[in-house]
This record gives sequence, C-alpha cells and structure tokens, in this order.
Amino acid sequence: MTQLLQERESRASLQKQICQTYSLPLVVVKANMHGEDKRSLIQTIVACEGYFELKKLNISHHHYTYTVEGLIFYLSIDLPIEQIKRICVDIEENHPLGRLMDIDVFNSHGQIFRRNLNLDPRQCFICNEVAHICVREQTHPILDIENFILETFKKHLQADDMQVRWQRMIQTALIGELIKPLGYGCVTLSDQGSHSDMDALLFIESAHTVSMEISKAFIFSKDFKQLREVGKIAEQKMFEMTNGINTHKGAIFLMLLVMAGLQHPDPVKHISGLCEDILSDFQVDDGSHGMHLHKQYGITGIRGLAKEGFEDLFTQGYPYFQLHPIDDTFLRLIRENPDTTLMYRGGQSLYNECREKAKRTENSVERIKFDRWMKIQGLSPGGSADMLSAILLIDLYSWIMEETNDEPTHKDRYRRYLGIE
Amino acid sequence: MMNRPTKTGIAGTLESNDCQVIVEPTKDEGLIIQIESVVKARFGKQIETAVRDTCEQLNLIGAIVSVNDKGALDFTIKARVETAVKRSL
Repeated sequence: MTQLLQERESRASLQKQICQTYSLPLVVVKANMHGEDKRSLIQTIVACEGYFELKKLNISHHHYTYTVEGLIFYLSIDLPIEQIKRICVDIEENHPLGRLMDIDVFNSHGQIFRRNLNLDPRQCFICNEVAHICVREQTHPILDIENFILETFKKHLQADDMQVRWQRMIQTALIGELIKPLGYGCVTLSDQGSHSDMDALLFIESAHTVSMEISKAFIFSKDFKQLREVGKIAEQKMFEMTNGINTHKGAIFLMLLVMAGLQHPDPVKHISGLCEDILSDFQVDDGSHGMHLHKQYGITGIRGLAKEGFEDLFTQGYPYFQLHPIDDTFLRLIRENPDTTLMYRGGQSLYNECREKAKRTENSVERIKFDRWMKIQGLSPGGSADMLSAILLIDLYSWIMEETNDEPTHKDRYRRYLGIE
Repeated sequence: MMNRPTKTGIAGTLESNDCQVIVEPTKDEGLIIQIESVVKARFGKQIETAVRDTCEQLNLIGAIVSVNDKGALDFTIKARVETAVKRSL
C-alpha cells in the first residue's frame, strides 16, 4: 500500500476521534489535486485560503497535519451540519481557488455528501462531466490538469485590485517559505525548529495579518517614511495577533522594501536610494536585536543590506532559486546572508560555526545532521527565512507580470510551485 | 496455498477517490463480491473485475468481499482489497 493510502486511513481515524471528542461537526480542508506527495507551494496555499474562508465562522477547535497528503486543517464548528456543508460547497464553487479545494464535512456518523442535500455532484476541472467519471476514466492528460491548476492559481494572484494582488503575493511568499523541507532551527510546516512558542499555524495566521497591512503600502513605493509608518502598524497588528511573539518583524521590513523595489525598473538601485539614510537609525537605541549587535560588533545587519538595495537577493539569491530546490536556496542564504537573528541567538562564535557547517551540506544525511545540530544549539536563521520569502515574492511577481507563457519557464514553475521534478 | 479469512478485515476510507473494503469469512469455500459505487452504472463491471482479479491472485476462498467505492482508481481498489484480505487472515 502506498504511503498516501496509509495516511488517508490514519486520517480517517483521526477525524473520527475528533468528531467523538468534541461532538461537533468537523470540516476537513485540503487541496483537491492528484499526486503521491502533496507538499507543494500551491497545495499549501489552497488549503490555507480555504482555512481563512472558514475562519469567518466560529471555529471551536482546530488542528492541522502535514504529511504526504499535504497540509490539512481540521475544524470543529458549532453549527448545524447541513448549514456548514452548504457554506463549504459555496466556497468550493465560488472562491477563486475553490475548484482546487476539497472541503469535506463529517460528524460521528460519517460524511455528509452533496447528494444528501440534493446538490449536483462536483464537476471536472476541465470539462463539465461529473468529476468522478473523469477521474475514473483518466479522460484528461496530466499536463492539462497541471496547466489548469497553475493557471487557476495565477488568476487568483492576478486580482484586479492592486492591493489585493500584493496581499495575495505577499501572503503566498510568507507562507511559502514554511514548505522548506528542513528548517535548520526555523519553524516549518512539519516542525517547530528551535521555537517552543511558535508553530506553522501561528506563522500562517500572522502571514495573513501582516500581508493585509503591508499591501496597503504598495502606493508608497517612493516614500520611505510612509513605508515605515505602514511597517509599524503591521508590526503592531502582528504582535496583537500573536500575543507578543515575533513571527514576521524582519519580514515586514524586507517585504515592504522589496515590494517598493519591484515596482521600479532597477529594484536594487531604487531600494538603495530609499534607504540612503537608514544607518542613521543607529543613532537612536530602539532596543532591537539589530541595535544590540551594532553596539556590540558594529554590524549593520538588515539595514546595511537595505542600504545596498538587497543586491545579493536580486542578483544572486533569486537566480540561484530559479535553478535549485528550495532547500538548497535556504542553505545558500544561511551561508551567504548575514543573519542577525542567528547572531543574536548564538553570539559570534556559534554564528561562525553555523555558517561553516552550512557549507558542508552536500547530501541529505549531512543536512539532517545540520538541522539537528541547529535545534540542539537552539539556533534559528530567521533572517534567512525572511530572505527566502523575499525570493518567493520576486518569483511570484515576475510570474504574474508575464505576458505570455514561455514553455521552459512554465515547466520550471511546475517544479517550484507544484513540486513536480 | 489458499487463503481463508478467519475474521473481518477492513481497509480504506469512504472519502472521495477512495473505497472501503470489508472482507468477512463464510462457511463454504465460495467467493462473494459485492460492489457499491458512485460510478456503478458506468464502471461497476470494471471494478468487479479488478476486485475479483486481486482476490484470485491472493488465492482467497470462503469470503464475502464488500466494496464501497467513492470513485477510486483501480490501483487504489486493488491496494485496499489486498490490505483488507491480509487483515482478515
């Protein structure tokens, strides 16, 4: 039996257990796509968007899993089961990513189906046949299905409203970095890394909150003061949402500047111009990690990088990502990117040791060892994770601005967004 | 060597694109296959063939094999039948 079939069986018993524990209807949200391993960017985002929709209802208990079946949310909701099912069918039919979602509703007696409410069965992605029939007959070539998925996702990002567009791209980039297979101390969808106080769900919620705020600043691409104002509000909303835990403080600053830069022909030059005077920040002690390290070691951290317009990110990091898996890109960032989060937690000597170790990660055995070592040391390359989000934002932006679908790049997007090698 | 169930074996789920298979022992040596499917009208025969082939490969006798199919592909049906049979022995 494949791993996927095994996972599905254990999930069925988990669902039953949740239904019995809470005696409430259970909604299970996941991506409705083929594949033996569903841990891809698009499948993760689809599940999250379904979750954000359902969060509008009053969720009594929630839980998530991340296996070869991809990211799955389990939401116990205190409403009549038929009403919940109708809402879920409505999301599946009408949300821009709804056709890619699978939202099932259960109670302790089993699942409630569309036909129980006299609703039409789900239709196939491609034609208007009943989906079950096309799946069974394998009517459509996989390539057509993948194309449909990619195009649906692209259309979702290409919202007419520019602010919505930026919000969706930023949210996708912030959640997207969580799919990295190893965190080297950072939070991923599969583990908490070196952080006992955060998990992936907190990051997902925080990504939603901060992207809502950051996107408001897309009109201020030439106004550093305004960008900072929006950044401060985003930070405040983040801390309110997380109860004081710093999930995305560095990412907010970075995303604001990258968003501003991307709207100009030469992003590096533009960001560097915006941040001309940024090192004067160090004249006032704001008590931040960056400040602390500047006083101790004279390190300029993320501000120094901003002053140079994040040159490495645009000219090295992003091109590297286009040719390499996300894990390799993340390791490259840990090696190359001065990461003050890492330095703050570990001090200079551990920091140097970590970057040395990051160089010796040729194979998966070494990588797993490095991941374990980072967790034992309690280190976390948060600044590199932020950079990874920024790379994803650049990648998403270049995609949605594309006029045509270039065949080779298209294939590469499959690999990056659908995890198809 | 023939395989004969000694107890009830269950595998699979009732989710879309999956099926649940229940294998139960009978008193005689016959093999009874029951199919319920969301696509029975169109694919009932094919599904039955897939189930019967798998049972024969496993040398199964003296069993009732009930399949409740929610649109699974043949390889899923076969894998679920195989697991249910193993669990019934």
